[in-house]
Amino acid sequence: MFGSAHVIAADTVATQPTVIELAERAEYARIAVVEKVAPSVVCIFDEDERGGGSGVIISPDGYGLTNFHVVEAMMETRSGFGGMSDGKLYPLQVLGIDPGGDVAMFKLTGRDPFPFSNLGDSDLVRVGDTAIAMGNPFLLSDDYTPTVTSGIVSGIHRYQYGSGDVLLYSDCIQVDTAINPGNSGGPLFNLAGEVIGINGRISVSMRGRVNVGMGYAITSNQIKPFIPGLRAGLLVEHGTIQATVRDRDAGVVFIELYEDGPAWNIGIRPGDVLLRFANQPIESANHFASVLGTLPGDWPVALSYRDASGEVHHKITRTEGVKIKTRKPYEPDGDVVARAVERVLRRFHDTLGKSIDIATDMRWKESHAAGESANDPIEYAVAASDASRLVWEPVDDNSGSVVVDRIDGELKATHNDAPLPLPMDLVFRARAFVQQRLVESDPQTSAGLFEHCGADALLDLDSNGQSHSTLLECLSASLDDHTTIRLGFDAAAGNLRRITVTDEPTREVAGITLADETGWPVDLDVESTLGRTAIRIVDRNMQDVDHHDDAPANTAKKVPTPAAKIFEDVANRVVKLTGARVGQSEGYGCGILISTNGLALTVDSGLLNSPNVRAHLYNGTPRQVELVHADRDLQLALIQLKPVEFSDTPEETHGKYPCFELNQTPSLTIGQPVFAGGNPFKVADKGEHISLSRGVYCGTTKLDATRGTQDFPYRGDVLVIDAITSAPGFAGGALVDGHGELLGLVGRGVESRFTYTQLNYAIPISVLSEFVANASNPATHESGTSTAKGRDVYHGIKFFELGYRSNPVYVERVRRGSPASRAGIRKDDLIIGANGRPIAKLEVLERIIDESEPGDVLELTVLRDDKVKKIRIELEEAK
Amino acid sequence: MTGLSRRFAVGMMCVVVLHGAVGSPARASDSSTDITTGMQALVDDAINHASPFIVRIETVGGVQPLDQLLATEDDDNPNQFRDNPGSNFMVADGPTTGIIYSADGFILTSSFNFVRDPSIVTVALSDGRQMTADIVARDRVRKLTLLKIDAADLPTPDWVPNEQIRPGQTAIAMGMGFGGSKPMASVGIVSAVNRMMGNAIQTDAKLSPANYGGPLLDSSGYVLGICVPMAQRPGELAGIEFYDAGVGFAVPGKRVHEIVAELKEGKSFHRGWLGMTVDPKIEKGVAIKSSADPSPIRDAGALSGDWIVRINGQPIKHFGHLVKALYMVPAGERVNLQLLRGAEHIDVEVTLARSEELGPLPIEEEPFDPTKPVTEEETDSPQD
Repeated sequence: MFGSAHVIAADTVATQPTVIELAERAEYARIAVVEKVAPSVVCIFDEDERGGGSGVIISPDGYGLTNFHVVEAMMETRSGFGGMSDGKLYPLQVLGIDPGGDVAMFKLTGRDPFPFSNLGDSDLVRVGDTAIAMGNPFLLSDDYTPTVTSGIVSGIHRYQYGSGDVLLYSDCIQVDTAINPGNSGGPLFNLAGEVIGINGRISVSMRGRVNVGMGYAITSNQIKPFIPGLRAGLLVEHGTIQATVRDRDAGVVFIELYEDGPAWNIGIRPGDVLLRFANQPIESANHFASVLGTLPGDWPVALSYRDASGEVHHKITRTEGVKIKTRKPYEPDGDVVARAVERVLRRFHDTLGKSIDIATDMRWKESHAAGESANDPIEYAVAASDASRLVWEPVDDNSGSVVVDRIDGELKATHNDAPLPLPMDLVFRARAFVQQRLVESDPQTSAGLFEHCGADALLDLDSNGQSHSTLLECLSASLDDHTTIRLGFDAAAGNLRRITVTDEPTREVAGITLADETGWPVDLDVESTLGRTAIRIVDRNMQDVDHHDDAPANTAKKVPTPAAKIFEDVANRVVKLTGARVGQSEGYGCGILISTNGLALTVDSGLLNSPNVRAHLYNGTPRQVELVHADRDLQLALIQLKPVEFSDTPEETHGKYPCFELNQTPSLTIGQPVFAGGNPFKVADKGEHISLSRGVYCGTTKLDATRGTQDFPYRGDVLVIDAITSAPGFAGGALVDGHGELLGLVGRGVESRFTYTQLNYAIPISVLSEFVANASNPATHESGTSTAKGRDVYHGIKFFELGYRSNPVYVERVRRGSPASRAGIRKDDLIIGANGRPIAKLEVLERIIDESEPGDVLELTVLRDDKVKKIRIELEEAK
Repeated sequence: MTGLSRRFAVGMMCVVVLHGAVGSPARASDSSTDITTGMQALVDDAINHASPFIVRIETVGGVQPLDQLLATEDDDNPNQFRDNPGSNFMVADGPTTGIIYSADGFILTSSFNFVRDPSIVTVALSDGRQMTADIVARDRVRKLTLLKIDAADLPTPDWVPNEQIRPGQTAIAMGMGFGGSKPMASVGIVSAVNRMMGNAIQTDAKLSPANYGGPLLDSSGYVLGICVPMAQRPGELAGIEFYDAGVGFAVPGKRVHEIVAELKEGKSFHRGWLGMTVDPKIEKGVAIKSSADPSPIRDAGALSGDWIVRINGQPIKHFGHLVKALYMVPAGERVNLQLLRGAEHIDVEVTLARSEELGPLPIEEEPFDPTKPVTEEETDSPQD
């Protein structure tokens, strides 16, 4: 898709492009991406074409992904229609489902090949990245061309509750891209046109089921491990470790465990503290749920915990599948050959799962060895490390066998001796994440075995026949229960040395050092082109992962986009306010830090009246909050953050908060990009990061609005923006420009009197700094309401009133000698504007007059004899 | 001339105009920052280009449209808002937006801005002049309205030819609706180019009463279309439920010109009706239950019990399909119906009528049962 961008460049100038040209190229690159991937998007309809959703084709033979909740209503017949941008409807068959993760696979027939999109690596997604959604919101598409919407990634690693065990959104991507009902199941693309997620959910406000800037997509990486099962038409299961955790002062604490569950069996007991899980430091119970929810059942997982004695343990266990209750027993329905292939993949998985066990915990193996063969559904898988035939698998209905051979180092699959249209599924890719360190191939020992694929140490093996065959040796060898795969890491050279096979958990094989400096193997994922299968070897030494996280190479992983840089700045300077109860639900909001010693600005709301308001810093550290000063008319409040004594560790000393600068005057151009940071819908808990939304500065206006049924007291200037910030919890967040400089404070949710719509706006920085200056001045501090009504004004007009206040404002009488009379106002004049504001009813004019002072000029726009006149009245003091 | 080169011609002009501010060559090393800066400059230029032909419209008088008042009285239905999104939307009387269509004083805007039926309409030009305007004609289906002011030599916009509009390109919506003397901007992309039976392009720029009637611009300041509320159902306020939700519509230039030619002659467009009711109990297919006398459907010879199986060639599988097939067809336009009577397929041509032209419906055989909940089909059934 960048081809056309290059064409543009060639067409125009050979010299350095101007910034405008760069912007135009960016626009054209976006158009090109849209054109490239839109044909792979599917408008899904049920058989009656009543309801539906969206989907995306991910392989040329018509396999596609959508949400489970899109196809749920079709499960009776497992059939529907898929409309594509060629204007045609294709028959759709529902294959495997993942009710737990709200994913389903379907297959279209009737075209060869189908246009398709590739699944991207969602682990590379960063807050601020552009995210393009496609689908069929509100089923608007008559010609089956998708609706394309663009926005940014607002949050990553989000967790959204499901109902019970189903429809959980774990570790999902949050976007401000417009996602609406009907977008469900459709793809979320990055700017390279790769599918980074499947859109499935939105947060909605009182307005109803329309987008308010909060959409959620299931990550592509979460879906990948499930794809073989989905493709085979199975009901796939997510994993559990049979334990619950809660946020406690000590950290994320285990509360309840099932005896003989995966957590119990490795020695965890209630009260133990979870430190790391699946290679990630766990920040909150929410975070744990989020990570766990991405794992399939029967999946190896490493975790670290601290027991009652304070000792830290690093263990590996294996998840159990969460059984999903369906109304009827689930009947697998998919391609029988695909199902056979799925079993092949499972065989790899199981074998390698055991190899982990061998490498780490012999007891685990013993406890599972007995049940293993009984539970193993595969009785025919055959593998030999020295044979060219890797595996064969009988297909269900006596229709032959799937055979996977290694020929000239390439993996070939056949079905009844005919080439299988699925061999690409079995072209494995191995990726080794060597603790995010740059890895180079070692020519001496591995002969180009690994190519390093970028700074994140992603090793892609399928692009090279040589490495491919070597990997396959490993895989085939690993099908023996007593072998394992090890990656060698030469700490001194910083090189990955070797991938090899051993039947002993030693660090020395054939004279080659296999272990990294810590002695443990690193992650190895094996993928099919459709996604990751179930093979993993993970580093079990968690301390050293920590160490590697801090390695300098880590920061060079990806050049941060401007938005990503802004996000860092904003996220560190916005505090999440929680703890108070407003009515039935927990109150929440935001504040912005404005001094290094913990002063923060927020909106004046009932939240602050609660005795136990907490401000959570970016890292989750809680602070008590003390109200310093509030101004009802400005709807602003100044708060002081104080340490929470009982939970503060000594090193969390007070002071040196990152903060925004208030004393600056940023320039504003209508249409310029702006970013809003806040915590809408309390999507971020404790140490989870806030949400970032992108929009433009629309313009400045005087606020005239209501909140609920009440008049909203603030009447000053506001910066109107088109990022949706009216969602609950956003108020008190930061509005910054494209350089991360503060522009204003996100205001409370109000409805504009001009439009009767929810207004998205911020209180400008000039008002903020004046408020802060007044707050520290004891004289004004006491008065509280700074713009208390002064003296009444006199104009001398009697308006026509008929007891119905919404009438047009006609002049009934003008008192002789009054200011209005002198200015030239006449009987029967129709007043249509005052001080630049349109006047359609008397109450608006009365409010403007009420807010005037004697001596002010009231500029009226008057309609007389079908002509518009402007008349200025100098208001006098009422006697 | 392709869209590409036209756009680049404009782009290069911008560089000259804005040289002092942003025209400096970008370094490749921080190109993403420069793209952001460039986007800002591009949008700023587009806005400046368009501002002269954007007008502020103010209205005096009028009331909430009747269907809104009726809808908000339906307090008994707790799911009213969910079932009928937008039904609780009250129409404000703030300023609205239009654009100068021709130098001789025709102003194009959205019919949404006049659903209150105001008694007085004024137009404020970007040069500060404000004058009264006459409503020439309204298109309540495509949601456009043509005004006329007494002025000459007005600045006019350039329109992007339909075939050059592409999904993914930048779209800037301009509007006066939040107050202030200058138009405000909301920026998004073109989401789709063929919506609402070819009557609209779709955008994710935030459209709302703040910019209905205003222009949707490309990044050169050319007009892609006129922003209007729309949804796949009839009704003057249909689509208001999507405000600011990233689902917005604009009538593109080609369609605008066709419609304006008729509006200029004083021809207004009204919602078209078949004049029939359907049996709400029938879920699959659409069968005629009764028809008004006179009504287009009766005049075409359709009988009670006939099934409507196709409209303009499109299969009609349920009532929603019927609504979708007709919501964009104004009264006076013809549609082809295929009826199924027994085993016989009958093709008829029907000219849709205005609601005032429909005769009374025959007395319903079923007595009215106040305890029975009113279904959507029933409330909708007289509509088509």
